[in-house]
Amino acid sequence: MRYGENWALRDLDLEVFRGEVFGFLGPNGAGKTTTLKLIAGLMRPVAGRTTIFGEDSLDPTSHRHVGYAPEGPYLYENLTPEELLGFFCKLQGIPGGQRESEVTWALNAVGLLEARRLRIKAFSRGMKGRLALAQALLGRPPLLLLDEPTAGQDPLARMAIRDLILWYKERGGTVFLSSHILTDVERICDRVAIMNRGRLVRLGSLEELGSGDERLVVEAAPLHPSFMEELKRRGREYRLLPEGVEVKGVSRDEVPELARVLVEGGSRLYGLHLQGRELEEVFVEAVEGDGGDHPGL
Amino acid sequence: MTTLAFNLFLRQRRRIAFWVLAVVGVGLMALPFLPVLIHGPASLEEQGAKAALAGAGCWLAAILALLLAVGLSQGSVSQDLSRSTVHLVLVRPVSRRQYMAGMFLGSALTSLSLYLAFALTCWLGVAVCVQAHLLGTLMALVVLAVPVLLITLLVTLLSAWMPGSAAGIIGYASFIFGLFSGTLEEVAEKLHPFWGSLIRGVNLISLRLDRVFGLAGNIVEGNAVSWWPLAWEAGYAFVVVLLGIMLFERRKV
Repeated sequence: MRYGENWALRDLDLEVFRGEVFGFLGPNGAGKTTTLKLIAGLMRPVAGRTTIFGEDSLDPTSHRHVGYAPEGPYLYENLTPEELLGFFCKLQGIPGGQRESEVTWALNAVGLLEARRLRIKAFSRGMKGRLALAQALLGRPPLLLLDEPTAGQDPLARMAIRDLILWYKERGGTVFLSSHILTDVERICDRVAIMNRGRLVRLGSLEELGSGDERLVVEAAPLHPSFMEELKRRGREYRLLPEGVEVKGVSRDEVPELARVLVEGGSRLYGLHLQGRELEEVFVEAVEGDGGDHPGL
Repeated sequence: MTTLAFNLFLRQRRRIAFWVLAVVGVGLMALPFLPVLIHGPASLEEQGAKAALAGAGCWLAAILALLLAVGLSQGSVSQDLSRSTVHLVLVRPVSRRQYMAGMFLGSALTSLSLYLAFALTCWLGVAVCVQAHLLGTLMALVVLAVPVLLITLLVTLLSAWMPGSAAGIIGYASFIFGLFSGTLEEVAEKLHPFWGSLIRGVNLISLRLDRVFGLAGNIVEGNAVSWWPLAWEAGYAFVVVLLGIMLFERRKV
């Protein structure tokens, strides 16, 4: 996929499995929205193809499987949410008798039921974002494509949207989530892809992306020299903390042995926390390792 | 397609500008008939004056509708494209052809509803003040709906490929050019062959509104008419719709 001389996407080979919440990350200009548009059948790739449950995404009939909520779309502001969603229900092919209940359900799901008869022009940015999400839910399609659904939302709305995505997953739905809010991705995604400059640079579950480099935070006092020697013997880097020490690169299997050395050395142990790498670290490393985040190739 | 069309029509009707233009337009439509309303039908003793007033009413209704049609249609597709609303439509089981056809139909509904208001005012004015040429006026008003439809479709097609303001400017230019296409042909006869050919060439794609207005005038007066100008306009409208739908198939959104 290219814009003029620049490749927006290149050599992207990606499969999203049924029933998973798939996080799609990348700096601005990485090709996330272009990918979403390709999956939604809104763009034609220069080469290759995109399929939705086996059907070509360029075929409009495949669109009945998809709900798409782009980031900050303009929703016809002279209409009310009820009218707007009714219009989309008709386009979606939802039978007349079910439209009203479907609209009510979707508005309720995003917390806008009470505002259903207000003109959209009176809505805040956050409300418009939730309405964009509501239109994607219509017909309860098996695949949801969400572009920054929690951007501009207050903490309660963000939590509600995360819960909604998880509820969707529990019902067997698949969610393709593009977001810059990494804490949201960490909380709800099963697998994550990181894009940079139109290419896929990381793909895997959160555990896979953060594995092999866990940190052990030891809350203990005093830190006996035998414990510090043990760390040196194992070649582990560490950093002293006010409450103890943080040790890098510790695997889960090493924890009992380190705890034993610590206690036998005479230290009082208050806590042991094995932490994987945060997604933010993985993200920064993936992007910087790929030569920064300058768009265009 | 009809869902898209009625949605566009509903959105246009929700605009304050739509109603302001409709009310101002209807008010303007009443102007030619005011002197007769004030001085009485006796001021229209001559048969020619009656036909002229009925013809002027038809002309004014069409001119007003043509002017407003450009303004109302210029953002029909371009706004959807520039604000990405088109994505919300095309991600559903709606083909690009259906989308574009729906936009054409919605724009046509908007323009023709305004024209209907002006035409009704005109016909009522003729019925009350002129009390003659009623059938001719009705037929002329029906004929004049075709150029209103054509310019609406043309501007809708343009708005799928350029910003609304540019589509509006070209739409108004086409309107003016179409009104004076006959005059331009006469001018072309007197110019250097190169410039004459150029003008005649450009005139081939002009809307030829002058011919349709001439046809409407003849219908009101009860003269013999040739329907070719109307057929030409209808053919032009068909080509615009076909082209619009075919081109939008390959449009990046």
